Amino acid sequence: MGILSAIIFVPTIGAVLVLAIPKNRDFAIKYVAILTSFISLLLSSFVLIQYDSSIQTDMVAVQMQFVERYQWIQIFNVEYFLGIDGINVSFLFLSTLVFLIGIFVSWKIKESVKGYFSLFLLLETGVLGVFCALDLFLFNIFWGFTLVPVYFLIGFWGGKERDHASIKFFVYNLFGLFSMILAMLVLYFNAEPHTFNIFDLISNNQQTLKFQLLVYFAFFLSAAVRIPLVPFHSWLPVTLVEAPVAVSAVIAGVFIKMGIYILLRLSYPILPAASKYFAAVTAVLGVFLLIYSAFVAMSQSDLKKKIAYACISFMGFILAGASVFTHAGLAGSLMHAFNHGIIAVMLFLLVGILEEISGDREIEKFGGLGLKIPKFTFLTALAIFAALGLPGTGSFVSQILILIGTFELFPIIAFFIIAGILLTGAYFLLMIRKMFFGSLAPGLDNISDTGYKHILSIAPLCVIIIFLGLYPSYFLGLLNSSLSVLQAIIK
Amino acid sequence: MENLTYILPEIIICFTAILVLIADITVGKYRTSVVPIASLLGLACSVTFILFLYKRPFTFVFSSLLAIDPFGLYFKILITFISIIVVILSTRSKRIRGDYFALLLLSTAGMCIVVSASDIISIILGLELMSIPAYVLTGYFREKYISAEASLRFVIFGLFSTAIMLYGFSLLYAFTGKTNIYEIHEILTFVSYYQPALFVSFIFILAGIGFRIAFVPFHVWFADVIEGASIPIAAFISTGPIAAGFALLIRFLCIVFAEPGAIPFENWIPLGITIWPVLIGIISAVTMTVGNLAAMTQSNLKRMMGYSTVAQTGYLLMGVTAATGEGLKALMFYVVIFLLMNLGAFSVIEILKRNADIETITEYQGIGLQAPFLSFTLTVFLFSLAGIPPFSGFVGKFYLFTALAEQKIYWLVIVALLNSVLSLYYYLRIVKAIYFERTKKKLFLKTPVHVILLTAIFLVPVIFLSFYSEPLTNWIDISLNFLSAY
Repeated sequence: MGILSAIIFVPTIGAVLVLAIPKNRDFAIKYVAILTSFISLLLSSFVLIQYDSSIQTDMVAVQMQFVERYQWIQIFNVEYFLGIDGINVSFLFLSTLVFLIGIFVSWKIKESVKGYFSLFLLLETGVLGVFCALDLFLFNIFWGFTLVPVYFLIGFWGGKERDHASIKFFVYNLFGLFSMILAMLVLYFNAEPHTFNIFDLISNNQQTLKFQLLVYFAFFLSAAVRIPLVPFHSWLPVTLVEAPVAVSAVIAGVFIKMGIYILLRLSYPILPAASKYFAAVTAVLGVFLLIYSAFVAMSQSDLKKKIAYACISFMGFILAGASVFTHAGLAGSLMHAFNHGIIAVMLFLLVGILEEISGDREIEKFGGLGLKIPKFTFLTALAIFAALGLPGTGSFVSQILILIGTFELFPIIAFFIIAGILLTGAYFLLMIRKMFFGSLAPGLDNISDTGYKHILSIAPLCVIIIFLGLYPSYFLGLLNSSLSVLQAIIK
Repeated sequence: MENLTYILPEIIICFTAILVLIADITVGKYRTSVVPIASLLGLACSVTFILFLYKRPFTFVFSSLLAIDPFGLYFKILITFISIIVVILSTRSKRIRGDYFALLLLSTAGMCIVVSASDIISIILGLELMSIPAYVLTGYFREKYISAEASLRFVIFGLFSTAIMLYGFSLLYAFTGKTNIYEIHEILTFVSYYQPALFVSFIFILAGIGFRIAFVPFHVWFADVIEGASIPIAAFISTGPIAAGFALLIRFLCIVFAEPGAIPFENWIPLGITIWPVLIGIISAVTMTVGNLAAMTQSNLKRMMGYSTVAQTGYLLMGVTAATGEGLKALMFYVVIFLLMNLGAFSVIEILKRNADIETITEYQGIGLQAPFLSFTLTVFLFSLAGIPPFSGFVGKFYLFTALAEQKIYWLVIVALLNSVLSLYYYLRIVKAIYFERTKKKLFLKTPVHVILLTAIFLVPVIFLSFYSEPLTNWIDISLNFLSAY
């Protein structure tokens, strides 16, 4: 058993332990949960530190590290195959961090504590598995494994509209999953010998463009549900609004990044011709998503909904960056996905805190919070300025990289991206002015500022976002070799 | 005498049926415990003898009325398993008498004959022995209007289907002059000028089998019967006849309507005179869609399960559509999982009905916290039925998809995947009621050890077959093997 299996399955063991603890021992349950996810985080930090980004090779398979590979289902040639390269190492770290923070902020859950924490830990297993799996079948199993826990987490511990939200989440995502399963089957039977191994599929690409386009379309549908692109996007806002805070953070932070991850891990290397063919379309879809969601976000009066649409808008930005195959574009897109993961988690935690201390989410009802709760204001401002790409934060670098990348290939797209960023700035700044400046709105006299526990949960995120702003080459260094391999395949 | 040893399992079952009837009137007040135990012992003996038959050379018996081969034995084991579970579910009810168990056993014997029948005569004999007790069992609690109605409906449709099937068989007999299906096959491969009439005969026979396995458009009786019958009998009817019907369908299609040299099955070619794989593909797509759409609108839990079973039949038919050995293996794999899921779901429903007297979806509201184990179990079965990974329902469907994809029949895969999404909607309605609705109503619901053991029989394989299915697939590899030409 290797370190990656340990990272993935320690939370599962935690979930089983949580189920074994008697019902009334809430504290024991919480400590087991936090301990197991902390072990996962430690192990994934170890992987991040040990990851050797200096290996230079043209073979994708060679630069995979921490590889674990066993036969699993003989008759279909399915393998249990895990590995880490520059593309997923950051996602793995981010996921373990977000889950630990998620458990930390779930401390106040009172109803069915046992069920909540075991499901949350199972969800962690699913998410980590998706980021590590290098066999398509295994990938799909883990992908499917993420759906059931989220369904229950929203449906049982969610807000008022939780029935609607949970069903919508499940049905949309199952559709995405099945679309990918179809693509997987087609690939499997068109490869000689039949295989689910991603690297064998990559080296096997002698397919016609027409075939590639069909499979690419199926993959893209699956990614489109996850990202989520416009006709498939309606599950995300309602899910983010209704889910418990920790689950919203996980979904906005890592769950929707899987859409981008599919493109970079599966679509681009396995179907390079089709990916190039679709590049312009993807870029246009990304930019459309960016601007469309920015307008929708502008018109929202509910704080959580506004941030949910802002998340979708950023995903459009990331997608536009990923659609150009320049090094800058891909690196910027991956880095922005990471940064945005952190920012989205921060924003959702902050909204959760605000809802907790004031009992409200309507932006209209707030005003003048700046002097009343300065710590909270500082954290929110930091998150929002990071989201806007202020110099000194990590997202400044990634935004610039995406702009450089897109400008090389599609200058018009770059122009629209800038317009999108300006729109984002507009609605965020308006929101800040309404909520934090001016005189204190009525009914807010008794609210108290963020406690040390909340600050503790958000602090690591702030540290990372500023660290990446000051020293971005650390992150870019991780990506370098993997991205050059990817580019070599596409060319 | 030699022949008799080969059908000893069926003989034991019939003998137990008679014994149970006698015991019912002689043992007096211990009746409620003696009768089910006797039935269980009989079934257990029968399974043992079926296992013994694997050791003997496979052969035709009774001038080739029956073929004792691995394929038949595979389904016989499944069917006796179903019967054992149904007997267990039916115990501890004072209103059930010996005749109930006798009928159940006779029906089981009928199914065992169907799955190894290699002659038109024995097929009809087996089907009738399977169905007639089932008609009676459906209306066993005849004072309930709905049961009586369901029983009558079942009888009418059943007799009608037998008549149609007999007509198909008589056409086939008219062309060939034979009743043995191997001989019919041989003659059909020589002559080619009967084609349209042969197609008519094929359609009639398919319709006859279609009534038993409830595919569209012959499914109309199914949900009514499931709703009207008691829950154990609903579990029985929604699994046993379907397994037996699929065994019959596979054997009949593969032997009669296949090119010569098709046995063994690795290079099985459908007989060129009919386009039946396409036809069955269309039936499969329509069946799953209609089943799921109908299930969506149901508010009665049993009716919903009935339509869900119709949809599952549609999925199973995909294995026949592929018309390859791989397809049939996938079908045989999914039959096992389907039996486990359906029997498991019906068991939980029966336990909840018996212990807490709740039966409708609205009554299920909020039981998630009060009966955590049973709720969890039912949820797993429902998710598995919907084909959500990582439960084994997904892996079973996945095998079917691979068989289809290998033959490049992608359209059916797409239809089936969309149907899975569709079906999720109504399965989730139950899950939602169980977990997400809060009620103040208190149920005094205990989960005794024997209940946990019973549900574990289904729960463990439904969860773990998706991770480790090698023993089952190996068994299926051995089992997909008919006796070659007579």
